[in-house]
Amino acid sequence: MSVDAQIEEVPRICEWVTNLALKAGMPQQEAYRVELAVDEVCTNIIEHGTGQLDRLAGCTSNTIEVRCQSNGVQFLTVIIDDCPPFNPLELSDPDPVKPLDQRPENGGGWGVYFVKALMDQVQYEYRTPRNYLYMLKRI
Amino acid sequence: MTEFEIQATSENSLTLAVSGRIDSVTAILFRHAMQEAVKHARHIILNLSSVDYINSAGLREIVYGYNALQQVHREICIIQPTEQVFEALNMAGLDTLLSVFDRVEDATKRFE
Repeated sequence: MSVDAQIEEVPRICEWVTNLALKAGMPQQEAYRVELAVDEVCTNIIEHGTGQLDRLAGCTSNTIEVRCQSNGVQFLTVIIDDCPPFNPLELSDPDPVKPLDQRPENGGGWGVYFVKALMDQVQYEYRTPRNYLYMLKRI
Repeated sequence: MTEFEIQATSENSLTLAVSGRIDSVTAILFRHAMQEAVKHARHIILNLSSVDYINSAGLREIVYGYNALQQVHREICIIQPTEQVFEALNMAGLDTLLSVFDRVEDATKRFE
């Protein structure tokens, strides 16, 4: 599916992916984890990539494309955007034991950290002019 | 539909009960509710028993509430998180940095 890169569209993307994961035979609890990972990735793209919050960046089409594929054993979600090249996996992990009053107010990379924790495998690739994030989860 | 309800629990504490999803769309509403609750300068008992989904944007608002209350020497604690919410709290370390209770009474007692 392809949707406008707007925060209001994220729940629709999440619902679409979750339904496909459930149809592929994934247990509810695991499908929830996929949903949360997809939410975090799409939210990051919209907040940081499309220039809605970070005016320095900007993508050309302002859309996010999501593809899902299952082979009965694994469920693959690919999230594609055409924002400037950005590999979220290069971000350093936040520290879960860091006191709350020392955490940055803007969040500080928890979304990507969640994605890595929730999925079995995550890979990034830039193929001009688009960013591809591949997320694999065992069914 | 995500809903928020603030109720006085005692002289120095109040309950902020949330129901529904806390995602990137509703996190802003959660922030408003948290700001409203923080204004009272009482301890906050955050009831998440009816929240079946929370993402990192939602957790950010809990951290905001914690830090805002610290300035007036008050605390925030969480009661009855669902399995999904607890998993998110755990990933971000909030389950150990904040007090989490199973029973409302235990949270109320803490602030007596």
